[in-house]
Amino acid sequence: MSDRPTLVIGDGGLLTSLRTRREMLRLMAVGGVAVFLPSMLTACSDDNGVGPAAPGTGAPLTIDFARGDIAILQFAYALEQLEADFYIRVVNAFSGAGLSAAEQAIMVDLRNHEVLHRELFKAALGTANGFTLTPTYPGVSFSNRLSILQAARGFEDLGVAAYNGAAQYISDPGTLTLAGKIVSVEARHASAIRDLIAPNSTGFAPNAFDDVFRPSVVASAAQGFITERLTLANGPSTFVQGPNNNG
Amino acid sequence: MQASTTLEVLQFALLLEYLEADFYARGLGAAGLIPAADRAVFGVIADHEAIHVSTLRSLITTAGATPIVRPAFDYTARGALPGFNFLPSQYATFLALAMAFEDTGVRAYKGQAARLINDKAALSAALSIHSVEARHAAQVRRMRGRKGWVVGNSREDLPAFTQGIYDGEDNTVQGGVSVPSLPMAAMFGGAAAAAEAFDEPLTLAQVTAIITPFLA
Repeated sequence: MSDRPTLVIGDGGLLTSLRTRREMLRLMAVGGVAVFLPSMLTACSDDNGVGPAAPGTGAPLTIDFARGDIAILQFAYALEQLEADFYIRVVNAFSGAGLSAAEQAIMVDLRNHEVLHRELFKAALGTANGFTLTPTYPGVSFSNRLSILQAARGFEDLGVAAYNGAAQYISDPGTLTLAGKIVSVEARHASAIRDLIAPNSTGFAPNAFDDVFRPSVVASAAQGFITERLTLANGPSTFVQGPNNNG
Repeated sequence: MQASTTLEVLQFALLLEYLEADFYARGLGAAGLIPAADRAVFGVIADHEAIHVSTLRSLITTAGATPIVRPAFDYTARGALPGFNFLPSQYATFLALAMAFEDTGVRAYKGQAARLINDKAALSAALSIHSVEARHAAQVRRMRGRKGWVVGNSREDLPAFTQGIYDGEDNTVQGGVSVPSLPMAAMFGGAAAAAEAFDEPLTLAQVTAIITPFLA
């Protein structure tokens, strides 16, 4: 078994990342093994007993792509709610998380940016088209620096791929530019988080092209952190891949 | 009509990528310029820019046109950075130029995205590069001890001639909504965070004005 390819999973959040899942499937196909570190099992124990509801077990939440740009804004609003809530929790748990002062300053900035993204979409959608998600974080420990950073990396990379992939369905040029204004800030976040995990390495930008994910791929990844049952109705049937051809 | 718009955008992007790719290749090739600890970062950025060049060239060729020829560059910006020539003592200037080029690239691609609204393949490709430029920008900014995101319209410690790269970045009205006036904004960073949270586009003409001094 020592000559088999091995994937070490120390953080439950990684299991919801598309990359990790793909990596696992690839490994299984060649007889590889996945190793679950104790840190992950510890994190999962948070789910036992009276914990938050499991992802996807709550009320249905449908985003209807027949509604055009409104649906794209709702889709973005869902992701920004998730990110904003995540960083609010991170900041509220600073005292026990072991983040340095510099890292804490970054987390406060990220929290502020994501809350403002969320609030802008909330205002743009109004009460008629708005909704409130109930995020949940299975496998994420808010008292563990690396768990926080790995979850943040997952959210930021997903956000980048989500905007990059949803852009092709936007029909209003101003809305497309607005998405562009946000996605590059998400990418700046992703870069900073990745550099905190592996300083001065090649990790801040893992590919010459960022991923471009279709909404259904993004939704299934995000579902791992959303209590409501997320459904995309009338989802677009066509999708133009980006250069990585993996969305 | 769309085909000619797409080609104009791709050729414009190619010019920017030529500049970046050449700049980093020269930096990596200059003995003693980039410290060992930073070579991994600039190695990967250089690789990315070279791939962007080759990808844009093939997209242009596939669209039936001829990619523009790589121009010669003047990294003194017509004397604004006198004597800069990738010398071992000039790493600080190299880093400053890298920040200037990456922050420009982010705004340049962003400004062209809506022009590709009817060409989904070009849009996907351009956006997948756009966000990578933002990753580069954040990394270089952070290596210089700055925030990874643009603060107001600040060029930080860059020389005055680069101010056009940051003009307008302090905009806080998005989609007709004043972000600092939103109900929660005051508790979450107010106008300063509202400016950071959104990168702003530049027009083709604005970007051309920024990079013209670097064309020999």
